[in-house]
Amino acid sequence: MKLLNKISLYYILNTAILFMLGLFAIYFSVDWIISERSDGQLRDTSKEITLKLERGIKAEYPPLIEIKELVNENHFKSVFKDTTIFLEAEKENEAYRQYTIYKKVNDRNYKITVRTSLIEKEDLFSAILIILIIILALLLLILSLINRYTARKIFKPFYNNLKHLGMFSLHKNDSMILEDSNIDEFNELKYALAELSEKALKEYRSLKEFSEDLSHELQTPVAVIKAKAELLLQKEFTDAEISSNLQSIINNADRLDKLNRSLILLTKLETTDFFPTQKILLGRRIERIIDNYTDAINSKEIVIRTNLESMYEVEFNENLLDIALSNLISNSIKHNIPRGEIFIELKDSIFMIKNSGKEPKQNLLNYFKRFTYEEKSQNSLGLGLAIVKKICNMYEIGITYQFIDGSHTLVLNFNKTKD
Amino acid sequence: MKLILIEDEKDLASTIASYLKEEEYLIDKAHSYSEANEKINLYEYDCALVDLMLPDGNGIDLVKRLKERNQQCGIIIISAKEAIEDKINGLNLGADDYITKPFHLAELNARIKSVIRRKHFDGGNIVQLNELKIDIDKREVLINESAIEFTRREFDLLLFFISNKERVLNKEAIVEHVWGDNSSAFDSYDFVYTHIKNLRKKLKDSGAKDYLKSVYGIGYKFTLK
Repeated sequence: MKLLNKISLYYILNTAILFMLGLFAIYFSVDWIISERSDGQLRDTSKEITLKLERGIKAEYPPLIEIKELVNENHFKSVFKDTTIFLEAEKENEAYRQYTIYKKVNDRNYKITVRTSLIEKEDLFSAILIILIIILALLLLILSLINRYTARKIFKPFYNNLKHLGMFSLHKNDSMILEDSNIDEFNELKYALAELSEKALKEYRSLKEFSEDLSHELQTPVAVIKAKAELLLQKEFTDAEISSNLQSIINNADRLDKLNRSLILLTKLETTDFFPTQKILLGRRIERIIDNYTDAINSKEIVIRTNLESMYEVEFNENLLDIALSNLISNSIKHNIPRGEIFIELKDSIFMIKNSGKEPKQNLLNYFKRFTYEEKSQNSLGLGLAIVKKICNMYEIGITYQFIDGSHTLVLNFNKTKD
Repeated sequence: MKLILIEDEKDLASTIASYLKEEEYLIDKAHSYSEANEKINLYEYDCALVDLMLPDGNGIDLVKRLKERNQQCGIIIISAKEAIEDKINGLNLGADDYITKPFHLAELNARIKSVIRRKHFDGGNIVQLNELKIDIDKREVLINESAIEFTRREFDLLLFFISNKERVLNKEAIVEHVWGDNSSAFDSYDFVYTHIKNLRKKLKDSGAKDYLKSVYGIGYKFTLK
């Protein structure tokens, strides 16, 4: 529920209760005032009637004034009473306030009743109720108008800032553009948000810089280790232990080097906003990359089939496209079984690569994460698909990975509007 | 041939220098921008290896200076950064090649030779070794003056071996040079053996001597001895 609506709801509930109390208060006080007033009037009238009787005038005017001569002397007390009388003319009962006195005038006993027409209690009550309901309705109308106005004017910067906050991403590397407001709370929120996003960006940048620097700093010692080991290799040790240790040093330095390069690439993908793009015929590109891998495919006696549409063009960064396609194709060879199969297809914007292979031991989605591999091997860094995924995300390319009928199937949709 | 090696990491510089020593180059080492600048002003070099990130200056400026001093000087940039902008910038300023750290010494050696060949032998870019004659630009191999067909990989292998003759080459360096980035698709480097076997057979069948020797557990060596 929106804040404004919540506040309004509370406001309306409380107002309604107050109005209810008001309704009763007004009703009872008006009722009291009216009966006080009419009672006073009735008393005055009765006095006047008595005076007239003394002068011998019997001023009767039923049903408002009734004078009855009594046989016996009564000493009843004067009494006020509410009553209803059926009126012939109106054919309905009307409410009256009556005052009855017993007087002895000129030695005759009289019962004098004076009446005055009363406002009916229901009428009074409903009149007050209607007035209050109208006021309440007007209040609601005004409140909703105010709400709409405030939502549009006062809350606008708040909602806009909220939208910016939702769209804020550390990857995009730009700070939030926030709107000023003339409401103190919103302004305080704005400053807090601006400061928070600045801080987060700064931390993020320094973290990225650190990992970038670290990777580059690592290159030199790795280079020294590799070079020294290769220099030692020239000695042609006859001791098999020494040469196998040396080979192991070189292999691991190589692995470290490759790992580092992949991490540099991943960091670069995360920190770079824009890579220059060009129009590329996707089918040709795929053919060329497959061609590069001929030796690897042959050495494993893999059968490769392709069905590539040659005219489909993409707008892409050349290097990144090569990296993504190479990773996918190289994976399909590396994780294949000897004498296995690869099928590569490009139909419109859909690129599919399917290869035979062992059943995956993990949830397929895990392979898109860093450092996920079936088994540790010299040639698997566990970064290949993470890099592909990152590149796909950058260009808004949908990527799916399935294992169907003994085949690993990866599908990329190069058309972002479809899917 | 006079080389200058501009590299602030002394350990790496001395390792490179001792690897290259056998090529009978005269090697000057410089460990800082100012030292390199001084040497460039004093001497003329046939080839320069320049690290871009130096503690007291940018190697790019040294590339410019080297070019101004001697158009014939072959320049190879050594960089820890695989930044394409640096690469393009360096090559635009007159550098001949660009190699990223870490690299195989054999790879560096082959690149130096290639740069020197391009710069200092006018006319054909040709390597001659006994009965072998390789025209690099035409990608042609002549054995005893008759042309022999080699596949692209075999040609690359042969040239890499000749550039690193009398050196032990491990499989990693060979695969990386010949197959480049595609090497990651291989489970093992055993297939190298098949290619080298074919190369050896072709050389032998065409009347060349058997120069290729395998070094147990490590790789191969091209030797005239």
